[in-house]
Amino acid sequence: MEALTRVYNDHPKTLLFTSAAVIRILLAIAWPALPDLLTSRVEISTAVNSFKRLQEGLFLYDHGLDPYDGGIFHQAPLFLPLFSLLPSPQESIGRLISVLLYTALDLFSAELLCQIADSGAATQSTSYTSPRRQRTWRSISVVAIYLFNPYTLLTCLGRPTTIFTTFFVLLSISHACQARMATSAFALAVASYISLHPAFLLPPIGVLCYDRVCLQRISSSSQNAKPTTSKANVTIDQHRFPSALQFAFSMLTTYASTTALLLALSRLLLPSWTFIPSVYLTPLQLPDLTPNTGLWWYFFTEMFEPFRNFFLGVFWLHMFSYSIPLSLRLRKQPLASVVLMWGICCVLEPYAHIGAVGGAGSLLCCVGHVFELSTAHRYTFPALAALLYCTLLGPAFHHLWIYAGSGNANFFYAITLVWNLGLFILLTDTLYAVLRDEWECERPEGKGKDVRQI
Amino acid sequence: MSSAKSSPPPEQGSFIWTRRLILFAFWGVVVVLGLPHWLWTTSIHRSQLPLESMNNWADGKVCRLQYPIHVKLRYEDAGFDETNALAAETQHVLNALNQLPLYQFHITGDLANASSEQALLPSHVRDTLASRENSLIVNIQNDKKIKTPQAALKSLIPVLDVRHNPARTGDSLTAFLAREISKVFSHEQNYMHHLLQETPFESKEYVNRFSPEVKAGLDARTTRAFKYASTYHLTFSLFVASSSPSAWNIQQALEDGIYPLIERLSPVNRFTIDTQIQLYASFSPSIAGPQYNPITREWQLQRPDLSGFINAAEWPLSPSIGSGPTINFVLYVPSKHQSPLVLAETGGQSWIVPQWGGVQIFNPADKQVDQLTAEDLRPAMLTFADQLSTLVGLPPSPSSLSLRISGLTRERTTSLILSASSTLGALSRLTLKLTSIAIPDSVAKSVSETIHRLDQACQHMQDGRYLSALENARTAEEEAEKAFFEPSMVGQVYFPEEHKVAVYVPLLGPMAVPLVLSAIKELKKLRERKVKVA
Repeated sequence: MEALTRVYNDHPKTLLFTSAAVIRILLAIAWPALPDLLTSRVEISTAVNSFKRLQEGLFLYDHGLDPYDGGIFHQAPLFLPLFSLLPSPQESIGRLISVLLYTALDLFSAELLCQIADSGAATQSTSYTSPRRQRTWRSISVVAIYLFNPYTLLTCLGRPTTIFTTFFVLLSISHACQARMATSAFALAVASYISLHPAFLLPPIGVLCYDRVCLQRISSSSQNAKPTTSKANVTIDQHRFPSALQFAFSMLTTYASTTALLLALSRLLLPSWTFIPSVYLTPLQLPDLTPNTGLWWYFFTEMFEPFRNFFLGVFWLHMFSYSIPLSLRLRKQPLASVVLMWGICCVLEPYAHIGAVGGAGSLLCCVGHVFELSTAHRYTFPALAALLYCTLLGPAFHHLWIYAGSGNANFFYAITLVWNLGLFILLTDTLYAVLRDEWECERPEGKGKDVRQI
Repeated sequence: MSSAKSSPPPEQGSFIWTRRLILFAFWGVVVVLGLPHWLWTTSIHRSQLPLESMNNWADGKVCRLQYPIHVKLRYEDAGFDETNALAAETQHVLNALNQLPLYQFHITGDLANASSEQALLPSHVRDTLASRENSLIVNIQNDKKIKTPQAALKSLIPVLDVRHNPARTGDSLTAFLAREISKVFSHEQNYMHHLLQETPFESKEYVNRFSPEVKAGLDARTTRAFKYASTYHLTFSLFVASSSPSAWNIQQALEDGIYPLIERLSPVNRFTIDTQIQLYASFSPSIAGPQYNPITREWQLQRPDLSGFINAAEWPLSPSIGSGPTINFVLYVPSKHQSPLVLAETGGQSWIVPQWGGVQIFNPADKQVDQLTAEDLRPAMLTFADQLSTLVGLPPSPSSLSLRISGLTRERTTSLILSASSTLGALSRLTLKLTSIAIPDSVAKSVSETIHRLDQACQHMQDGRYLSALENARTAEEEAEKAFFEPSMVGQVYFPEEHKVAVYVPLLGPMAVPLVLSAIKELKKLRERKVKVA
């Protein structure tokens, strides 16, 4: 035990990563049916990320047919050559290898989260330094939350391809925190190539990346120049900042050219362009109304046909409409705007699933230094309790509706409503905390007082 | 976010600008993306329909239904001029008669008589050739033995043979010809009037008053016949009450009895045929069944039993095979101990089930046979052929088959034109009444195709090309139905404007309230600040 404690104190990250990998592999070995069971759960697999549908596409691809002809496979074409290298997951060895691949992906994602948390982007920007910077969560805690929360764990075993989206989004954020614009835009392009909605992260990530680039210039110049008062420093260095327009333009160009490159590559692999409507019109037009944890499916089963297209557009525009205002409002804490926007996307995306929530929830912990504000003044505990309650009741109600036949669609729909309400409360509470942190910095006399509407 | 007692300190300029930018970003999404999307997805596409010509068709203003009848007069014993004079005179008399206002007669003398090589051909070949261009051929022959003129129609070709004694009759030959020709068309004329009655196409000049018997006969004809379809499916079924006969030489029997009729009908309808045999076919339990009449030593089916005779539950008579409607012909062979089986009252053995088919009872001769030969089936097939002609709507008179078929062509064309026109009228009324329904381009295309085809049909009919008129009328009717029953048009029929509020408000309302309120608030502040500055 002592040895274990010592090992933990010396190499906590190694221990965390090892134990996370071991848990995943052990689960897959101990219950060989578990990965396939999870793959067929609606909470994990949807029409656009299901591992089963990927197998269907792979089968067609391996037999030289257009994988999108079947109308079942709606995932990005570049998955096909990657997964056709792996042995068939129908056999136990193939299943284990696929679990291994996804475990590795989870570990990489955890490493990226660790980098994001270590970068300090959450508490410091060019124009703002949080008074709570001492309370920042240790990166190891964020990693632990990501690796051991049940949503990530179960999703890893269920192997949906959206784990790749989470990975590339985290990659983009971490590179943005390291002020690497090109790679950040590249990773974001890959993420939106897989899932479409990460494209809405472009404004917040752009602001974050620009801010980090400026901060880098400041720190490098402050090392060179003689230390003077910090205020003077800032004013001097404003002229050294790269032009915001130029930066935005080059980021957009990188993003667009990467997307074009990916689409061209996909076209090379496939006999026709049919993959574009199949992959990108599926989230846009929502042809598959299989229940999931999102808000869309029930609404569009009930929608009058003539208004369907209009409301599909409204839902997408609604999701998009938060992107720019958030990056404007939180431009002093750009990482917070990225984190919140990603959370909003995970709740509002058409084919929602718990894997995205696992990722977004862990990312939320990167702004953990403000949580004391939301726990003190807001509804974090009820929200978390609601999430727990939904996690337990959701599968039960789904079973009652689909298999037992003693419930109806409203059972499951009500649970998904509560689930998403809980997530939204968490997000708004975090937003409140972030804004209050900023406000207390300007108005220290208001610290600790309750909010009142005037 | 400050206490209510002390007024909050003034905001910094950058905050105001941030707030304005945020508001602007939200409103930008709404106005730049949302509004065009709303207009694009909810605007109703209404193709332009040629309403005026649709209504004209529905009101019967476009097409005057008139049927030119070309009659050829062949007078072998008279000269060329004499024949022509007779023809002209007969035409004048017929058209002046005003008994047949729908028909316009064009009577010409047969010129082939005098000159061309056709004269060398045998007379029936000449008749066949002539009948392609003419509705009727009148052959006049002199016969010194008869006192009054006599007329007889040939049964298969449209030829009216007239014999008369030139010594005894003067100009009454013209009157006789006119009477005989109008007699040929009188039934068709009645039926046409029956069809046109109470439609906008009804001719104003001629008000026909049918006697109740004639009207009943015309009604019966309409109710018996199938609705017009380009293809009918014929099912010939042998139902045997016991185990034998278990086979029938139906192929040969059909070739002898049915195919000739089908061939003659082929310009109007197409037919597909299948046959089946069912042994141990029992009566339906709902009927009383045959009763033995000791006087006539026959088993008799009562009249009420006839409608329930077909055992729909057990006899494999599928309602429809393929696209067209199915006409069923049932040949029923009763078992030996119930034989002979006849209908009570009439003693007949066959009857028609309106719009379904024909039934016939076949009482075999005493000896038990295993197979019905074509010879055995001949009378049955003749009855079936007769029933078939009734069921496809062939007029009962005149006696010449070819005249009946050309009459059927005209009648079917007329009813198709009527139906297509009234569908066009209904469609035009529908689109005017329901201003919110979509009109897809396919409907406009169908409508213009319908009108084009109707024009063609009308034109061809007035030119006397009845078969191509029928073809066009059929297409017109199909297109009109397709336009009227377009599924995407029906969806929004019952979607009134008020419902749209219920669709928009629940979702857009909560989103719009903060957006609108904050925009108003911001605008107010902007004005206050301006006032302060001023």
